[in-house]
Amino acid sequence: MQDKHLSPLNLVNRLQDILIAIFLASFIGDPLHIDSFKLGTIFVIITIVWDILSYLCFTYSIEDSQIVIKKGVIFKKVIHVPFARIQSIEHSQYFLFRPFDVEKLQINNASKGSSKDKIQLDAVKTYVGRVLEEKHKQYQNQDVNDEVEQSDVAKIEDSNQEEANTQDNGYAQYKISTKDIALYTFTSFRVFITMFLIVHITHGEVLDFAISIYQKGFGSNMISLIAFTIMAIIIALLLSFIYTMFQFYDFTLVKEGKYLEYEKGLFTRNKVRLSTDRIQSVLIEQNVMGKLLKIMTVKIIMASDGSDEESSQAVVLPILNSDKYAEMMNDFFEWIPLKTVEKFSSRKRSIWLFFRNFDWVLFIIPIVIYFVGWTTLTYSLVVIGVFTFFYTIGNAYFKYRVSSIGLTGSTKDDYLIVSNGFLFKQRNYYVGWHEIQSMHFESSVFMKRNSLAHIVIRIRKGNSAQTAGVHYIDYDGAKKVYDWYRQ
Amino acid sequence: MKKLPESVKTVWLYSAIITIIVEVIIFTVATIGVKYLDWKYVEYILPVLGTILVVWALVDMISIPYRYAFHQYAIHEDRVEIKNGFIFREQVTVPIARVQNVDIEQGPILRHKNLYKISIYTSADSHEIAAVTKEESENIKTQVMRLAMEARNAR
Repeated sequence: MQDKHLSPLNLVNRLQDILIAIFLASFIGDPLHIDSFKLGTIFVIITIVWDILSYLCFTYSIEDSQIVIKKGVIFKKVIHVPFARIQSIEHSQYFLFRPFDVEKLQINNASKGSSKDKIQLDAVKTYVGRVLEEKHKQYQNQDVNDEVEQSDVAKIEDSNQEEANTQDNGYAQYKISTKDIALYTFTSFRVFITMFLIVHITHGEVLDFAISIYQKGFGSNMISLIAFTIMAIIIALLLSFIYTMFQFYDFTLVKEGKYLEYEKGLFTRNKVRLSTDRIQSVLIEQNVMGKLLKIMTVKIIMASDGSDEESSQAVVLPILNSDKYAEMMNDFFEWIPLKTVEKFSSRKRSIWLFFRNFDWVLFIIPIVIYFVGWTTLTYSLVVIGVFTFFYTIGNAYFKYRVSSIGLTGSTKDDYLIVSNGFLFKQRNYYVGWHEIQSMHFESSVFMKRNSLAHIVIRIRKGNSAQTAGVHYIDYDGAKKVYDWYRQ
Repeated sequence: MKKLPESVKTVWLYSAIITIIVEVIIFTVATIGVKYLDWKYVEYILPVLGTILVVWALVDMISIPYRYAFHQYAIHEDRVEIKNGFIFREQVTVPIARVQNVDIEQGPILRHKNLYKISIYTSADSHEIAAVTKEESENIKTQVMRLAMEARNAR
């Protein structure tokens, strides 16, 4: 396929430019004493001409070994992406485009450039995506074959065995049920965080509005206040449920041989297929609610060109029951050894240390009170201080309980399991030796005296780094992990 | 484990002195400026903040011999190791196979002493060796890049 244009539907994507042009014209027309309407017309014409020109200048060719994109109206730019370098291809289809069989493709090649250089085909027929997937697959297999040719006989046997294994348990599928979506919504604290953010962004106007409705409708006594609050929370939960429903509508995760593929969404259908050796880390999250109900969320961390959550850290199993944990992990992530050979946990002393590291900040409060005197500001400071004090005690204890680092063996093919906690959410990272970009071993003089150390690792996530660390673990244990990495 | 070249102490001394001078100028001007503006609390915040920063830079300056003594690096066949810090000790290991590229930089003070700063990039983060001589910098670059190519092809 040589120098093809995108689907003309791409111009629909650009309609927002016209809105922006009109908005801009109305905004700057008045202060410049120019008729906004005329200025708007000129702006809109320029925008349309520009969009059509850039549409005409954007072409892509799928060649034997690479994809070539040419773009730019004034500054021409040619981008070459060899298929062998492609990490994954993200498909997303807006529901209005579905009848036309058109989708958006984002090609991740995990270069560390700016987001401006994203390789994206905004609107192409779906068969283009299929062709690209086919080529990508072909080149990845070729990669593997090359390796086998280079290495000795033993390795060939090894890889044959591996292939046989993957054929044995190559296929696994997970489909989300409405019940799971509901569980996922109600066990995460996102609702409350979102509510808080909405109140914060609107400077409490939403709250004022709600209170005014409440006062009109119910008068004001304690019982109706409580009822109103509960109702508000229920409505927020419902909205959040509907939102999650749209996002995770018909979520399917399929594992086929060496490939993992997930698909989700109602209005915009997202589909990503990636080779399992492109996964940087498998992350298991569980908050306090999850701990009580014995459920957790599994995510994968990937290298991509986008920095957004969607393409760097994808939810692959929104709800996973603890008792099904081993079975499911075995089905979908069979290359990850679940058995921990060695495990080093945080020391009890860390409760005090975690607490101390944050709470010295609270000493500011008495100092402020001393200088400023007793005002309403200091009153709320004290309330915040007391709240933070107890909250951080709980947080420190939680961190102590969940912090640990484990090894599944002593070779380079083994995995490191980093488990830490923050704000009552436990995170477990499964990272292979080859995926750890660097490891830090830290221990101050005082820590060494108490035989304590930190281990911090960096993993590639999206187009930047994810730091995962355990703090205040046993010095010798940390040393062991560090030596394992240095081998 | 290799140490940095001795002359890096002078470089750090110069940069600490420059930092202190710049900070003193900025905060003196700002404090005087704010006096005229009559902001109630900002008046106190600026000199306090300025003093903290200057003291910090002074500590930095005094601790140069210690920093020098404890900043070490080593380039092995399969990994780069960097050690840092006296009171807060830190060791970093970067496997050569993870290295994406090596940058050699030189600021004005480093140029004066004919030294180079080395940044080693993986696909996620970067690690610095504060100063090396010219030939050493070339050595590190060629060695690390050669080993990185080998390691990647071997995998």
